[in-house]
Amino acid sequence: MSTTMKQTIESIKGISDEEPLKDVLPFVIPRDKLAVTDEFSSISPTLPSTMLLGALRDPRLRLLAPLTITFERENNDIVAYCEELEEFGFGTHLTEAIQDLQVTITELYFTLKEDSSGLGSHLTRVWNSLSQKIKEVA
Amino acid sequence: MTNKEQALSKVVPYLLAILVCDSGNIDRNSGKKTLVGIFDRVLTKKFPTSRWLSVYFKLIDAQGNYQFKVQYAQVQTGKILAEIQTDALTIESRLDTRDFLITYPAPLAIPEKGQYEFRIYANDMFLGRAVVNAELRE
Repeated sequence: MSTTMKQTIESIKGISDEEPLKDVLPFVIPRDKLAVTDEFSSISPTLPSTMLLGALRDPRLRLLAPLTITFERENNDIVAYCEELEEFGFGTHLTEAIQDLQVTITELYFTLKEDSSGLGSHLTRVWNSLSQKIKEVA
Repeated sequence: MTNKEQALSKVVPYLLAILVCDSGNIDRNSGKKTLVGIFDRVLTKKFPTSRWLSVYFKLIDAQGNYQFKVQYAQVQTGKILAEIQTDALTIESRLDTRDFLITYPAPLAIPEKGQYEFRIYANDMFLGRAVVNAELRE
């Protein structure tokens, strides 16, 4: 273990009341870019400006291409916005906002699918975008 | 954009499983992974504390070059307390499953009671998360 890594470990506040398990083979994938915080600060912004969403959390649906999500703070809430679908998700923290957006997109998909023959021009464009990016799985 | 980034796949993998455990090992001959002490709750006598742990995840539907990133974050504050990123690796067929075991070389900080999560990204596409609840032991 490098001196830097030791220092990093030692700099972590809080004493673990568990010992690491012995005699197990360590680690499998290369990890030359490990970053661990000290002082309990965040090693990157707590709210990213954008994110690529790669899953909808619904076992019936898979994303074929990621959706770009932007985030903003609004009072004490986080707003997740998908511009191409013009849909929002809200939450008290990042994960809640993402989950809300995932549910919204899933509901939108099935609603538009049901009415796909009678959609106006705007919703037709949204449906085309959704159906290109989302695949239904059995 | 660098050549390396250009070569990264846009195919969205599907996350089949993500588990947090005390530790794990890999059979030298078969490559099979064994997880020890799977959990989703940490009980401690006091905060702050920290834990040695490992994260296992498995995915399918990936094809091309990927860099995987695992962020460890405090849900309520959004603080990223640890982040690890792999080198680029190639997955040939979308039908192949791949699994990964990350054993952190340092205990991960748990500053206070609440929810913590491990977020899995493939080429910066958010695939899913595993949640750990940290509670005071009565």
